[in-house]
Amino acid sequence: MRILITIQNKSVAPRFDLTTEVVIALCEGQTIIGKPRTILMTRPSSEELCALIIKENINTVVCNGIEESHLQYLTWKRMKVIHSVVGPYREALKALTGGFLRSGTILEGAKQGVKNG
Amino acid sequence: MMHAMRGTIVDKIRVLIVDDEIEFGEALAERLALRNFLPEIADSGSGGLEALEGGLHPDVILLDLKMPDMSGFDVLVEVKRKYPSIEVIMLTGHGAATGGIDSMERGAFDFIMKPVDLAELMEKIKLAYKKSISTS
Repeated sequence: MRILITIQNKSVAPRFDLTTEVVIALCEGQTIIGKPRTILMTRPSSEELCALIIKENINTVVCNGIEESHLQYLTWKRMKVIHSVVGPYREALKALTGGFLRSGTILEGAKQGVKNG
Repeated sequence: MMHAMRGTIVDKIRVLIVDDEIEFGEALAERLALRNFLPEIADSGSGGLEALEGGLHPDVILLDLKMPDMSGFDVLVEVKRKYPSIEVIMLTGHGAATGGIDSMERGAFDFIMKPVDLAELMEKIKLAYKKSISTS
């Protein structure tokens, strides 16, 4: 399974359309194979991001806020999109490979950030 | 315009990023700094050349191919003429491999297509650095 997570700093990026950085990981079962790749986009663009997702043969996209049209497009392209995920991207990746990441998940790291903030 | 991202520590690979897409240049500089490189940014071809003329001496230049004031080709030719020991890696748009190959014919060390895979880019910077220290 090829996973793409939209990121900003060390968290899942708040908005798909404003994302300029993504992490791509290859996963077999619950194991992440190799080191996840970090890709820097030239500019924020949903269209360019969708093109990258297609080009990289991604199976699962993890993001936070995403426009309905892009969500529908990716779903139509047979991708699984787990959206409205809030928190550190590493935790999101771990939760995904562990099989318990769902749309709307607020990860523990985000809750701690709120408590500490 | 040109600005330093970090202090002057000589044991890190000094990288000059020349790209008119400022947000991209800054994001790239930030990521490289986190990985122990010493990046500087110029937001135009002429700005990059001015920085070199002003005494900045990077080991490697990351040079965007398409810029409004001067093309990456023109900057590349000028850099290789005046500072032959500095290695240049061209940043080209997606699907613009031809431009990258043309650049290599004009003296670029290598090229990388945007969006940029950081691991691939860092590998190329390290190889370019090895070449630059072996020729300087």
